[in-house]
Amino acid sequence: MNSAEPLHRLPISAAAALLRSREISAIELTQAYLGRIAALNDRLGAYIAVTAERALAQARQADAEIGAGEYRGPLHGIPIAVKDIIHAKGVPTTAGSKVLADFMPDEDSTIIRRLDGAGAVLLGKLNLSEFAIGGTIDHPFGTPRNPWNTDRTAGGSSSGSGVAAAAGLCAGALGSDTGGSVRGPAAFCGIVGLRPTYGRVTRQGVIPMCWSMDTIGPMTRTVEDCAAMLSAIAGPDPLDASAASVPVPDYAAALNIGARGVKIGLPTEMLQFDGLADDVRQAVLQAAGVLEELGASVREISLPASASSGAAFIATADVDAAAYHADWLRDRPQDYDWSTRTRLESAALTPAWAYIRAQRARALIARELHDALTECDALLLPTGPVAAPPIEAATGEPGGYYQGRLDLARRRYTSPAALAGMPAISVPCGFDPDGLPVGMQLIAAPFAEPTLFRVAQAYESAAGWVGRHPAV
Amino acid sequence: MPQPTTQQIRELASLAGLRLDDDRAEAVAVRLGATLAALDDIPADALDGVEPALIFAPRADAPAQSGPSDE
Repeated sequence: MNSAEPLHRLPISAAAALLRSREISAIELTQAYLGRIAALNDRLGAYIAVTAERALAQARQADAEIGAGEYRGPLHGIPIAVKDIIHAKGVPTTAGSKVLADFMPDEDSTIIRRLDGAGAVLLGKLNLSEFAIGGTIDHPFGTPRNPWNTDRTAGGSSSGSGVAAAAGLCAGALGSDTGGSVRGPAAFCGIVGLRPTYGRVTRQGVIPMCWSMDTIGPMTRTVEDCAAMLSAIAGPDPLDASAASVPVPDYAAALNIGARGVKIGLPTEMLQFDGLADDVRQAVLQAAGVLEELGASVREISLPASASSGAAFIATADVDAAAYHADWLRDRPQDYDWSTRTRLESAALTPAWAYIRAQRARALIARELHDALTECDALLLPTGPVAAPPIEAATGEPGGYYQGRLDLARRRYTSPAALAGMPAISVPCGFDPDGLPVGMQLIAAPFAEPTLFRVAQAYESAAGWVGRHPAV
Repeated sequence: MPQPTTQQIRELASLAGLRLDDDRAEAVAVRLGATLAALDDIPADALDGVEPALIFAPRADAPAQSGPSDE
């Protein structure tokens, strides 16, 4: 093995090359990650369940197959982990809640079956905001902590996924993104996170939050790794009616071809918003400059309806969630976190006029984004208005980051793509003066993930943020 | 948009089968009030002629590769 990097910091692509050439073994790689988890999980709160025995068995099988010349592809022998809303047979699936503390699925989800088919090694199940609803105050299985500064939040709801991928507690993770739950933690933790097109990835065997916006997406240390993980899980699924019957392209073909000729739109309202931190604004504008130097054309565009996207999202997603949770809310409300319970109870009482108004706003926002993406190949905007806030401020309590004015402010960045069902990727684009990562977001038309990978990877290669890791 | 009162919230909650004490009714009133106010702030003329997106799916016939070709 050639790298001076420890195994836990290798991108999936580099580890895969070493596995294929048998310079390292899957057992060796898996043990490295299990060692990291044993040393750091109590401090970082990334995992709810560690499946060490299963992982080592899968690693042994991968080594045997690779040794026999039966290489399955870029995830073969790669240790990954998934958010704890994804069913894995015989592994507790808690959704980060006391409500499901004893739930054990008796079948794998389609996603787990696809990861198995790709030869991936499952290290365990990752912590999250309760039921993938952001703002949890008391995490029953430990508080996820940002590896760049453990007093700061890792974001939500795919917090454990962000922590684990950033801190080297897995090679790559899966999270879920209903309204920003992959992109937000990815930005806060300094990694890449993709919200795929709605329907691109099956949701069979995944605990829902909002039926019309839930997506499952990869969270990785590089764009190339993100493309590899999406390739493994994307595609039609006869077990999920929402899974689109659109063929899966070769995402790797979108890499290493640069950004020359790509048309980028910069939404004026997103960058002029007074709730946007100056550091974040500057980082995104500098990223736009880098893309221009790479040959992309960048121009300002206007998305006035996006200012309503936070309210439209809450009145849509939370009402869906309240319907899913109706029985538990009535029968065992005391088992919910204060913030989750308040959010669901509020949603359960939302009047019909408000719900329909939200759906009309959603249609308007989707149309506006669609129109913008007929003139541009991708939109560039901040992933969120600020870098990671302190943990005590990042809750759904009054005045918290996930409540009221601040909640609506952050949602104006992540909700538009969710409401429109469009793919969006968050990529590291710098650090604030406190040394916390800042993320930028690219949005593209439905099923244009190749465009996102192309632009994001061109920027990533030029900007040089890859290779910076938190000191844990 | 008037803020919902705790009394209104408790009555609505009762209809929905939810048990809310005064503290919880107050918290729910604040949160729901904020959401309703934000929805009420959407300019009515912006929504003129816009029908609700009750069922949503991206176009399944969209091209898988919609990015630009190389120059």
